[in-house]
Amino acid sequence: MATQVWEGPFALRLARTRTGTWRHERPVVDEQRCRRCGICPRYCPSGVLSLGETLQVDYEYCKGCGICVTVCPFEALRMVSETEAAAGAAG
Amino acid sequence: MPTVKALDGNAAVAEAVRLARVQVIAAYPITPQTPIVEHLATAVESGRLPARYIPVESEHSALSAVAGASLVGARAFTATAGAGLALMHEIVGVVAGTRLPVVMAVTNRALPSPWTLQTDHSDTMAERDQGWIQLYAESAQEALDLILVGYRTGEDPRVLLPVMVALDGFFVSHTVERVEVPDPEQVDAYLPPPPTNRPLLDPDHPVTINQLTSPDIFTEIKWQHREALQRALGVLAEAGEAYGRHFGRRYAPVEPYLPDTSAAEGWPPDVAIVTMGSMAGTVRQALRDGLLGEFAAPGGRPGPARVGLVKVTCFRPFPAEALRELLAGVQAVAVVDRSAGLGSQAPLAMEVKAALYDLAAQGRRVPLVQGFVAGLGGRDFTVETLRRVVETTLGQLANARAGGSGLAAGPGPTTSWPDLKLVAAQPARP
Repeated sequence: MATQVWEGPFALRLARTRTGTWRHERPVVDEQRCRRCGICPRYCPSGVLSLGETLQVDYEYCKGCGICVTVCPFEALRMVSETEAAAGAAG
Repeated sequence: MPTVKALDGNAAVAEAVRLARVQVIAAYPITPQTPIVEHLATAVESGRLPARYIPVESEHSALSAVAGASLVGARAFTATAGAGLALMHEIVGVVAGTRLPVVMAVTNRALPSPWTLQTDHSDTMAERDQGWIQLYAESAQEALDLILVGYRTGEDPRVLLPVMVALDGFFVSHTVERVEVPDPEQVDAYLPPPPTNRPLLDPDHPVTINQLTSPDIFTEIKWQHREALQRALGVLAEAGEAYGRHFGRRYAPVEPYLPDTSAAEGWPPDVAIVTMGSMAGTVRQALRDGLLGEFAAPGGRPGPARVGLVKVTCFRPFPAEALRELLAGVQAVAVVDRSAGLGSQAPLAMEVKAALYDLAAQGRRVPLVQGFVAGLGGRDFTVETLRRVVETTLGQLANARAGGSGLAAGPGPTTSWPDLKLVAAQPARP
């Protein structure tokens, strides 16, 4: 397959940037409170929330903006610092 | 067969956009461009122009929408003026750097302050280093023609750059003239469909466009842009030459004019007036009809001074070499800018001086260059002002002759404002 050569700010080889590494705090779901209403996935500017059986957060790309916490009518989401989250995972 | 119509510059631009089969238009109205937007909206609504017309909330959005359209391969167009172009400023560089071959008409309007609706070139001059091709139209006919030449040049695979077509607000945009409107078939023969062999938004072939760069790559991408702009001059000349064959009106980046003989035979004159836009039309007519009267030839030579016009149609990329060859044999050059160039000399004068610097480097004589700033904020560039321009230039030349150095310079200021009306200072109110 011939290689296309173009001038200008274009990249053909896509390397992902794991924007999750930019986070200082992450949203954590309280599954007892979550009504699976579908509001937070619509508001997420990064599209990292998906609603299946439960609400899933893609922490590889979630930047920790906190909009999901703000829009949830049931206070089913809260922001937890990355330090705390890391300690929780280790403990 | 072309149709002859009575059109102003704005209507002529709208005709060109229709003939160019533009597919997407996004524009925001601003005096004196508004009729372009209105003509095009009407043409789309009536079906005469099968394009997508997007009403947007600002000029910043207008150019952004046009950039998006170009990124899916559509031929796109917008128009603006003055502060509207200033509002687009952030996107102007993006469109050029991302190599999107859009065309934008700018009905030149002075940037504030002071606030005005009238013309000067400060708006397009403020964008001169962003990497667009910049063309200046002298008349409504030229405005129509240069839109078509612009698409053909910008979309050429050797170029892929956006084109600004500037026309003086009111003097060209609103003055009705006899305009030859080409046949759609003629235009189709001249202007091929827009190129798709370039990076486009395509979900099947994802490309990252205008992404963040590091110092490792920025300079090289900028160099590519520079090289493309250099190539554009030759491509523009070809497109202008082809326009002559197709439509009977030839365009070149720089064009000399002499009233008494063909420029090819009678060049060089004693004094060359270098200018752009509708002022070139004033100079042309004044020379052709002998409205300036006569001036003594320089150096005591019998007979009148010979005065010629060098009209710059392409300001970016600047045709330095062509200008150098035209001006090398001239005694004195009068550059008339229609923008103030605050903080330094006016832009066209500086370009001319930079172009002529290489003559000195080659050991050739450099003509005297006198800069003039006139016609700001819509002030009419009259025959009287032009007379003062020629008088001042010849006066500087006479004083410079005694020097005899390779670089001639008169004792007066290198830039003057010939249409300035100085009045005595008024005392402040108590």
